Amino acid sequence: MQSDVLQLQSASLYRDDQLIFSDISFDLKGGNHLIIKGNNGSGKTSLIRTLCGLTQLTEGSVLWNHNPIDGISSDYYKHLAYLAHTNGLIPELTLLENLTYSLQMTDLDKDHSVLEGFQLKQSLNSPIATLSNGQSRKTALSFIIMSRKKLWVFDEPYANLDSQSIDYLNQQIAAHLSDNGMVITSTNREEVIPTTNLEITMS
Amino acid sequence: MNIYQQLFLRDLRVSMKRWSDLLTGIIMFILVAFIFPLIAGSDKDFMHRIIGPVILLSSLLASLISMQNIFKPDLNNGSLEQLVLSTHSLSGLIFFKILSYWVSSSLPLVVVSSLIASAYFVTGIDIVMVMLTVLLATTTLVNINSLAAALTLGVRYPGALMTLILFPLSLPILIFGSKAIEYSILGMDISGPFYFLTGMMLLSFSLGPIATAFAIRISID
Amino acid sequence: MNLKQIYKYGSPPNYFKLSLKAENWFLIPGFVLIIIGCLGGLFIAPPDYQMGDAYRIIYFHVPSAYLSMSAYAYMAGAALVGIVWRSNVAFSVAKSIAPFGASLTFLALVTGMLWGKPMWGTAWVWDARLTSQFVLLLLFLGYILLHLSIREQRKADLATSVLALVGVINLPIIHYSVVWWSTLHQASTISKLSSPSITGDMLWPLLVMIFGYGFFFWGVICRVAASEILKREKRSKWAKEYIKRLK
Repeated sequence: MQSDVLQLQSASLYRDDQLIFSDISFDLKGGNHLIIKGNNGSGKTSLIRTLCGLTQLTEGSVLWNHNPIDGISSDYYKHLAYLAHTNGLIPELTLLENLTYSLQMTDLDKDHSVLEGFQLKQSLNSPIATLSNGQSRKTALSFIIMSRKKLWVFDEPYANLDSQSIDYLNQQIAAHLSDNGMVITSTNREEVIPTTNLEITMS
Repeated sequence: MNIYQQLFLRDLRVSMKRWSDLLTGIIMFILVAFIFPLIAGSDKDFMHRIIGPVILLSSLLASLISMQNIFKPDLNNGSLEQLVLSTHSLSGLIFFKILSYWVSSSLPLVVVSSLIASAYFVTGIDIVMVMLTVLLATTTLVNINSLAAALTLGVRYPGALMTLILFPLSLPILIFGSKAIEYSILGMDISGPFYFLTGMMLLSFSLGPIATAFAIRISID
Repeated sequence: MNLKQIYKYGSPPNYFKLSLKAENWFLIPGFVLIIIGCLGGLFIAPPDYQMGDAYRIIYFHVPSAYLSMSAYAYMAGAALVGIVWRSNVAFSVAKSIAPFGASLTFLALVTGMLWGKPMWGTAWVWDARLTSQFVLLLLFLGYILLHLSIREQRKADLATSVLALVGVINLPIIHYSVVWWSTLHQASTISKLSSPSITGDMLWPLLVMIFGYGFFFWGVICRVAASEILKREKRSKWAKEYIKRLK
């Protein structure tokens, strides 16, 4: 759809009595990349989790195409792909098995060129537990990219990546954005990410 | 292959890879059933009287000791979150997850219970009844376990809590399950307890996944 | 009373004011009824031809037992309201009921055992009532322990509410399983509770005590739930004003 939009309206989150963040709003349209910056513990992950609907906001709402994401008529989760701090991969299974049994994608989407781009082709038959942190991170990233979902939400994707992989990731993000996709990235690094459209700094 | 079949098969595969966890439950089951005659006496009438309660108690303890394996590993590797974010009904996904866990953790118990039954001097059709009781009772127990595990996902040392939640809820199954075995051995009419066990199985597999899915959403928050 | 009025009292400040006003309307009648019931049961009612004066413990046992079971039902009802309407008030009420429900159950068990000693000769009998009271105690304790184990209050509310609802659905099943089991093992003894042989002048103090316990219970819950709500809403304007006025 051409005019998909993700809106956050006056969002605040309290955990018990502790304020995590307050009064954040943004509109994210197709082709835009939102960067969430902040130091560790500043609430980036909490914000991202509320955007995915995993955590409930204390005040405010998340809207997808003007519908609340937890509403009955909402098709938000058809379009959302989320990378958490953990990779969402099962360590005992091999990369290929994780791919085969992935609940996120149909068989047509399983495009191995992404795996090649991240230099994972040779690790197809290794259990995820035997891969390095960087390799498992790259695997998780490729699954998100392969899923062809419209909105990609990354929580600190650049952690553990070498510069070659970072470039490849940025290429894929740029390609996705020019295809009218949406990306949200959180990072605690200072360097500027190309393709940034919107920025939120957490404190 | 639809997504529910995929999830079921995936979880089965993972259980096979985590076979040492499965073994914990099976070993507990065997040990408890063997300890009783060793310390309480092994004459035939006594064994026939206690086999019902012993089998049910062994099933309870076996399920208790491996309860954390249902969701904790998936919580830690992030795949539980991905399940919650799926477009498909979480209750449906959890139903197949629980079913897969039952197949991998409880079906071996059904097989082993036949060996235990013969060690308890049970013969003939009664062995089949013992196996059937374990089959039916474990279906309810696995749902109660899943619910308790889901509610205590965020708790660091849930041991006492799980026992406290598990015991009252599984009491009816323990009572009727042991009666089913006892009646079968005595040659009495077994239909009452078996209808109850079947009814509880249907009730727990229909409401259990819904409650468990809700509890998972709460714990993941 | 239309729906709007109910919603109005569902909001924390209104509930708070209402409960502080209503509290004495429950506590005082409760206290009076209990006094009357005690006088009636301990002094006025005639001694039982079988047990003498020892039977009088039922004036404490029966109300505790009934109230403990209905307390669980109220707790589950509050839990349901809390989940469906996301009401902090309902969650506070449910959380407040739990320790009192547990204490009532414990009281019922102790008085039941004190009654059992003269009646059957032993303190603990594996009869249906006592055993299901024990299971009820475990259900309450599980609820309380779950509340204590989950640090974040909102998560604790929701999780314990699920537990309460599952418990209340299972409660009849558990009770009847225990009753069925006990009829198999206790063919001879019939519990005095279920026998209809209680006469009128023994009965009225019992009813008075049951009502007295009930009123007193709700009076206590009013106060405890109100303080729980105050704790939860301490960031809000009305709570800050109330606390300021207290100082």
